[in-house]
Amino acid sequence: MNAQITGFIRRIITQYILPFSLVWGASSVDELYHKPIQTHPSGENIIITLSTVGNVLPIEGTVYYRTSTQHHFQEIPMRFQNAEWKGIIPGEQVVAPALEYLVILWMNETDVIAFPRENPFDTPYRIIITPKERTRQFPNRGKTLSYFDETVESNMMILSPEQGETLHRDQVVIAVSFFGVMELDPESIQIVIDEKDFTDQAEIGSGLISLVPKKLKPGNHIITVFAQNIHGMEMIPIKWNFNVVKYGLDITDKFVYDGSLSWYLSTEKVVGNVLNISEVTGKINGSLNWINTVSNFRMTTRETPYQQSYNRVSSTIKMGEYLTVFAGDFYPHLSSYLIAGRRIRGLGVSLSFPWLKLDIITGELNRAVQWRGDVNQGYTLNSMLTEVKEGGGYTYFLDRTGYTFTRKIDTYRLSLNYKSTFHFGLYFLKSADEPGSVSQRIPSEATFTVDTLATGITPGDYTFSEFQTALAAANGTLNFPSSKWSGGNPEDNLVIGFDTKTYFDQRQISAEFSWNLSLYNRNIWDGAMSRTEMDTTLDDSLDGLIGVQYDEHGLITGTPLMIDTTLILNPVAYEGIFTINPYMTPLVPFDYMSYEKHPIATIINMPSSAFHFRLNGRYPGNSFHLEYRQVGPEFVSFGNPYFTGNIREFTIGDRLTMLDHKLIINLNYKYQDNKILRSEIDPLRTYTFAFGVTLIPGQNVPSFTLNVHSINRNKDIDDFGDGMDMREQSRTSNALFSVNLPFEIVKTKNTLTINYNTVNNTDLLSERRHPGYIFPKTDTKTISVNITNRISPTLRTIFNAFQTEIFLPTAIGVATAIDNVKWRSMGFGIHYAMFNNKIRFMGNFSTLSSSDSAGLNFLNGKMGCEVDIWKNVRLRFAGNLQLNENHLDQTDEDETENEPENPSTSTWEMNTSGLQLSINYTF
Amino acid sequence: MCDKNKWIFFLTLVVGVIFAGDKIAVATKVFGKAEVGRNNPVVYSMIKPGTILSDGDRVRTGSTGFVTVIFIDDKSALKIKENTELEITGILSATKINKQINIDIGTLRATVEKQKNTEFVIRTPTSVASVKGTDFWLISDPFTGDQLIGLEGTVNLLNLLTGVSIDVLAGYTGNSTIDGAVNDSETDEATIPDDPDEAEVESGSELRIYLEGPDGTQKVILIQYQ
Repeated sequence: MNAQITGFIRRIITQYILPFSLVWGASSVDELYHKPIQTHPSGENIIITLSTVGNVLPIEGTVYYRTSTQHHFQEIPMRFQNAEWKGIIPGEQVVAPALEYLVILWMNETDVIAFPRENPFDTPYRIIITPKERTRQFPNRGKTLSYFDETVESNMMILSPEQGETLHRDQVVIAVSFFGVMELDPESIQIVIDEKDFTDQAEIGSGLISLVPKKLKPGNHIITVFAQNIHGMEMIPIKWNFNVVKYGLDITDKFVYDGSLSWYLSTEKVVGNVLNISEVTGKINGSLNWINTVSNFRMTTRETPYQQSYNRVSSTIKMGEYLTVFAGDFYPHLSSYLIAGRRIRGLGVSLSFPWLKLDIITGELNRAVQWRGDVNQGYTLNSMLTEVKEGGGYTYFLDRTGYTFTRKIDTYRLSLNYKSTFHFGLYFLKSADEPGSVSQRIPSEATFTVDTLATGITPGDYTFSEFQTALAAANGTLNFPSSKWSGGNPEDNLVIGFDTKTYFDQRQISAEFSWNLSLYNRNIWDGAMSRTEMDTTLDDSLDGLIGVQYDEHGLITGTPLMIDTTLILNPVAYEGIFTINPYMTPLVPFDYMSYEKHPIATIINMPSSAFHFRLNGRYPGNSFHLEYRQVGPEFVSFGNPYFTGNIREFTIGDRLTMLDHKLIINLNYKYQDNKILRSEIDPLRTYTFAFGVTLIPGQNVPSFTLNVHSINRNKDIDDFGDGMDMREQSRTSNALFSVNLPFEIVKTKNTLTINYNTVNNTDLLSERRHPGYIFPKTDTKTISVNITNRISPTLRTIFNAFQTEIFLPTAIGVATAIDNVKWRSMGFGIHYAMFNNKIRFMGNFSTLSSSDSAGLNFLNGKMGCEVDIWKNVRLRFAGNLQLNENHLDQTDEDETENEPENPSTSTWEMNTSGLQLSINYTF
Repeated sequence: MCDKNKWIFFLTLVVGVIFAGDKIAVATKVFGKAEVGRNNPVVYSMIKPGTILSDGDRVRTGSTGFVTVIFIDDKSALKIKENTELEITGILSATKINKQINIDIGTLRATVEKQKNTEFVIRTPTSVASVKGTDFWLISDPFTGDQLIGLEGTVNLLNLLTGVSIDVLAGYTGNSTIDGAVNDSETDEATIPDDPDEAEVESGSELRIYLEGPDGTQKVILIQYQ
């Protein structure tokens, strides 16, 4: 309603009305009271108030005001409320440094009263406008900054969410960094989402704005962040948008995917043998909000029916946090005692809740392989067993070899988790070969050799049908069993166990224990044995009792167990779980004689059990590890065939980090032996102490490493008779020192690495050995130097050289000597990128030579090139070549005495060569 | 007794303020179980989206945990996968932060912006990875060693036992083992961990119109265009 007052109106009021009013108003002014305003904060409304005391009642009032940059006054009508006349100057007009105002009250049609009384338009009241107090009210922030507005760049950085990003409703985090932004006033920051101020919900400070807005509705949202510098100047606001969706309900949610496809081709020639390989590999990831899939495949020309599969096809489907399904080839890890690292082809399901987890895996560890594809790799004629049959002719024995049974596996693991502080897992593995998966008769092209011992048949290679023809011609017969071949027995395995883990001290210490027992049967051709067979197997006599021995008079000897066979389980009934027969290990889980005297030790030391206790502490700057582990000599798990058995070890270690992780000290002690069974009378004991210190002060400064190992081995044998001296009491000392020195020369960044490593073995029984005894351990001394150079961002080189000295103990008659052999190598590599890193060249050249009598020399060269031929397509081409020097003895007939003996010449021959080509496409 | 508790509270507050680390990063995405450990002795609490991380904070994830952490100076990001435990440290200068991640065990993806006169170092029990501006996965196991899968740029991987280092390039996997060996080989695609927060690649462009009914049910009109 306010309007700019014109000069005409102003002149009328000033020249004609006010002079008369002064006369009339002399009595009225005393009944009107106005207290001039001295100061006021900027941006806030100013309320001009006139109070009436007596009966004077103006009919109209107007406030005239102007800012310090305005020449003309603007007017605002006043209103009468509660015995006061009020006029409000809007906040947006209240700007620093000052504002002037006056009030005109019309008493009637002609008379007016003015405040100030004298020359109000020439000497109006003046209000000092002070800068606004720092409160989180930003009335001006919504306006669009004009060209003339004085602003500065903000340089604030959006951390989250990204422009246009789609987020779930419960994952919205707004983060903006003003770290390092000069002169920004954190108090002036205002965060507006969709024109609503969220500043009060934000955490602002230390260069960061962090805001988790409450209950943003699904849809598009616009964020604006305002700020001023410390001088009160507005910074250019940053503004961006993002989308919010509801979790799990938006079935049209973005389906995202990526992946890659590669084709690889190589040809290698190794000492005359050529190997060509072509492979196609691919990976595709796809996801919606609630489902993720990862699929991989590899198809290779190495795939052959004569070996386990080289092709791989796998797919993992993860549905939310709770269900994961594995299909095809996958590598589960349920427990290192159960299955770890072995490929399974089949199906796996993992059902996971916060307090319970169930893993089920079923599939094959091995597929059936009928034969190996070569002579005598399917059939073998056992000529030694050839017999003369009655009536003339011969009986020949044919056997099956070169096969692998289908090995099925089923594993289950149930894990319980109590508030992430206590875990308990119970697991089970059943794996067995399928005898029926291998056929007696195999493809007709399989051949076997008939040698001269197979009397009556011409020696040579025969297929089965050819042999049958020859057999008929020779009036022979064939003995070819349908099972129990010499190529291998079907096996059976059962593992049960549990593990438990708990935490202490804010989860910084973890304690875990696991115990496992295996049953292993190395021959299940005949299946489970009957109770009768069990009776005779365990005590040699068929009497319906187990554990009863008789003397020659039929009288019971010793202290019999006398277990009635009808009271124990029938192995045949449990054949589906495990095949119990004389080939199983252990036949009896533990030594019952020992159990009476040492029950706990007997249970713990069962030869087919494995267990460990482990304590890990992980504190800032200090990590320690304590473990006792024992694996019985008869513990077997098909799921982890690489498990080292017959071992008992105790380990304690500590890792200290100091000086802000720049100094690292490692201390470790390990004791190991193989005395689990009482029957082991000469155990090998190994004591290992390790100490390491590493100092890495920072980048571009030298770093140092020193590691020392001392390994003592002890195997006492009191009496080794006239046989080999198998005693061992030795010490191996291994020291490694390394220095890494970065330096810069003419803008070239270089790193020099020098390593020095020695291994010394000492025979502590040397004075008690027989003359001529050779201590069979080799000392070595190695020094290596590497220099890497980064000449420019696109050009890097590496030079390396090493020498290894090997001190090999040898026998010279009854005396011993040390043969010293040196291996030396030098190499140079280069990596160069061009065309904005779209083409990259790699090359490497190295030599390797020995100082022994053989005088081996090798030259190796590798070259390659990678080209980004399109945005997501990469072509790679590489080749390698190795030459070796052959020394040829020259026995020249007309050699003279002056010429050296056994002069030799040398020729260089290609040892290996190869070419590789690959194309990779990512999408 | 009451006064004593007040004094303990006051002293704890003072000590906490004095030794509180500088704020260096913020957690922007959190899935599953993830905790942050602070103070000495370390006290762990759950990480929530928006949690601000300071110098010396420890982060650990459970079997289903995942956290994305973004540094405030240059937007370098760490994606911390399940069963990982690490410490985040940073020394502040006026405009940059020298960052160091001490990972005890686990898997992380580091997307590091180009570092100008600053350090970005990841230390494991076995190795030190020095980074200038790159993208890579690091899988660390104190009992076997480290596997560094280069996605972009170059990472220098140094073995703490032998001091030997290599530059791991994009498309290559560097291995640093507890017995001191360091080598690299071409990356097998199947070994690259899945990124729960992977940036998506879409075909074409699309327009989404979000509609929400009175019962809160959401509908989306999706218009795809080329």
